[in-house]
Amino acid sequence: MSIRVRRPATTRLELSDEDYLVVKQDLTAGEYRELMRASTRLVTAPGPDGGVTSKLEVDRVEAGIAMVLAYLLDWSFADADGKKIAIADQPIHVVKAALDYIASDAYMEVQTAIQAHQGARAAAVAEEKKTRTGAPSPARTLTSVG
Amino acid sequence: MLDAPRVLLRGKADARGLVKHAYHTAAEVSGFVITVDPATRRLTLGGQVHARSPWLTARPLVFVVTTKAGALRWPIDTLAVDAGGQVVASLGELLKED
Repeated sequence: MSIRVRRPATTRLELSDEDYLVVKQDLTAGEYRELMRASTRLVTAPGPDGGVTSKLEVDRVEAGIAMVLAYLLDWSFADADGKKIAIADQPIHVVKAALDYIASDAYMEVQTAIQAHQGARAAAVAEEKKTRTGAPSPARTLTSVG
Repeated sequence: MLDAPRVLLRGKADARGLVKHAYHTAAEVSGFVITVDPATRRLTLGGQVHARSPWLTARPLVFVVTTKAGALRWPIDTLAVDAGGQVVASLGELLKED
């Protein structure tokens, strides 16, 4: 029997101007599935014999915000009055409203940082699979629980 | 004569009560009430559990109340959920914001 549940762990991503993000280290299956669902759209087109064909396509705009919403837990961002914009533990529509509220360059910095984190984690997990020996892996996700 | 527990916080329509393990939502709690025992200062949470997930068996758990202004968090010391979904939990002291 092998352990197939990761302990929740967070990663702090440093941004410019001493700002930071707190993100999930990894996604669960449900979170990943929701990310895939939110990142795709159904495209229909006229098909042969007067029929209609449909296929799923990646929606690049929605994929970006879906990825940010999937990973983002907290940040250091403040509003124009210097008051922290609360997103920790808030419902997803509140987090999305906050992401819509910040400056576009700030949003792109967030998205780029999370994209890089996602890529780094995917590479780390792939490497871990390559080196797995069959013994239980060390609790590498325990470093920043909370 | 002992004083009866006093209501510290009662859930309203714009306040969500969540049981969380780290950032995972273990359960939502509706109609929640947090009472404080005047003698012992102990906090007790009561309410109805919805949408419980396997994370409810994980430890530690935190009770989180979110409002438009932010979130209030208490560590859960003990938690019991009956067959009908009624939860009773003892809470530690309110956690400070970062």
